[in-house]
Amino acid sequence: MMGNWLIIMTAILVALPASLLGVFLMMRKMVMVGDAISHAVLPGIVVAYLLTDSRDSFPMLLGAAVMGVLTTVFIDFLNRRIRIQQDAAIGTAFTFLFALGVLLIAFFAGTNTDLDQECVLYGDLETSFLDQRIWNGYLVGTGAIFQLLPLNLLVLIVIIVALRPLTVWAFNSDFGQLLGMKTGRWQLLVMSLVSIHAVFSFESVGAIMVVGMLVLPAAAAYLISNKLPFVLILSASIGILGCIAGFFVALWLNVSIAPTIVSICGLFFTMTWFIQWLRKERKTLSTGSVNN
Amino acid sequence: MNYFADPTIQRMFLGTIVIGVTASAVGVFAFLRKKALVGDAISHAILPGVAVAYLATETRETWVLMLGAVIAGWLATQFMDTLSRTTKLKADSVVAIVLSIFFAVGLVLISWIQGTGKDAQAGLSDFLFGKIAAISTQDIYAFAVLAVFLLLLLFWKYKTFYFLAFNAEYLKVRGFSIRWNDLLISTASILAIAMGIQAVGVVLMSALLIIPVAGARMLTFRILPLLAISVLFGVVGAVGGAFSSTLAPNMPTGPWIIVVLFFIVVVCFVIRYFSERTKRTTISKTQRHDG
Repeated sequence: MMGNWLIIMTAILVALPASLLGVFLMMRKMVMVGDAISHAVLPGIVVAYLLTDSRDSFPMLLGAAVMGVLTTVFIDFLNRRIRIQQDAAIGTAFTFLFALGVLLIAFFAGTNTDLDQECVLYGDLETSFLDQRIWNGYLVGTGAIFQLLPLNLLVLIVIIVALRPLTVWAFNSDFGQLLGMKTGRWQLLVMSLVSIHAVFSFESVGAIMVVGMLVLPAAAAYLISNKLPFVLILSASIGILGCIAGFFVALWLNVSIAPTIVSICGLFFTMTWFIQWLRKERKTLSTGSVNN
Repeated sequence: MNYFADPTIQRMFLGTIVIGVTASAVGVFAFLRKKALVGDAISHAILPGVAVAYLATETRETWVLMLGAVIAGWLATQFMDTLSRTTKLKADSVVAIVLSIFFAVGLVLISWIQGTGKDAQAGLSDFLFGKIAAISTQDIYAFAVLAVFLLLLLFWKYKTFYFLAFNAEYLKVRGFSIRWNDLLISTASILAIAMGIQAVGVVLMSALLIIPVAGARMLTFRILPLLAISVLFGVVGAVGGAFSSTLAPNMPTGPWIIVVLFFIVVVCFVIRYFSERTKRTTISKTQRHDG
């Protein structure tokens, strides 16, 4: 069925940039910041939606992306100026912004029913293929795919071109600053990409699933390998595989697709961890010594 | 005067106050142990427990769902501990991994329950966003008893938990079991979270643990005042949030509580800012005298 492949394609286009960006976030210990961003774009989306009265518009994207970058600034502000410890700063910032978003929805619930809390959670991957784009009588894709494709290209280009500086930023920011690198700019770039990604995923898979797509493939890949390019490739493959497997499992069990995909990625991660653990145990048994 | 005569409003105020007090008291130790985001993970991880408990018993009794919630929350903390002990993954990755796996499985289960056509999805989705009206009077009594129990536990062992946060080695030397105390305090957090989740929902629950303490922490460094002030903030947030949500129809309570709590943090910051500035100027004046 064509619809199936369009849905899988959409899921992959969400998973690919997430699993690539997730590797850098994980190395930089900023995974939860990514989670925070994916929640905090909600007020941005609501405000842009209320101003422009449509869901697929450029202003909405812009509003949410700005919101995402503002979230990192806000967390930084809470952490440095207000001196709340890092984890509590993240927790405070994103819950406050998310609460604002929910309140905004509640305030204007009378004027529209298109935007509700449920879509924050589940997204509407199932119906994304209905918005088809026909060109010269051929089906060329869906609205969601055409939104996600440029982002995917952008993320791929950024990672290929700027692998070096991004690596330095992720692993040793202080060293980068010592070399005269503007690490702040690279952080801004990655965070903007994560924010834009969060907005698109908000529409197709639901904002809450973003953190799973960010961390699970990346963590599984990181358990397998230590070489960054290899980790990136592995992470992307795990993400894509998870999308395909997750889709068919969801179809088989007749459940919603996005959480199933994340569950399958979780299964991949747990399996990787378990195999590693078994291996370590066997090594310890055969050598008779514990070496960490 | 007839504002408080309405039983729904009475229930809402009582419920939010009980939840606010417990969450902020337990949150002090989560905050001090730098485990603020673990609370977020636990509140997400509770979802599959609730769904499985419902599937197994087919009832929507609060205590059954609470039991499922506590078991799931406990499994999640164990999973987090094991992951951080056996892998090279950083603490924040571990939190994110456990959070997303449990939550995704929970959502799959809920969508499966919805698919099988069993009525109750309305009840289970209250757990996602929270609905204070879904809490019955009996629930509030049960929660109040649990809250008193948890507060007594904290009051009894606050010194041990304090050392657990700052100087676990000392505790070990003194012959206390770190594992046991750790289990005790994380069970307390799980219970507090499971209690509050019906009222404010999965996403916002962790805020009830963290934000009051974040505010109180700006005003004091000592443990007992910290506990007292955060509980006070918890109550103020609960009352303020519940009151604001009644001002307009169809307003959710949870988000209002968070907004009020955030406002409290801002006020605390302003107070600290000015008190520090007066201190600074006094010091520089005395120094000028000395010099």
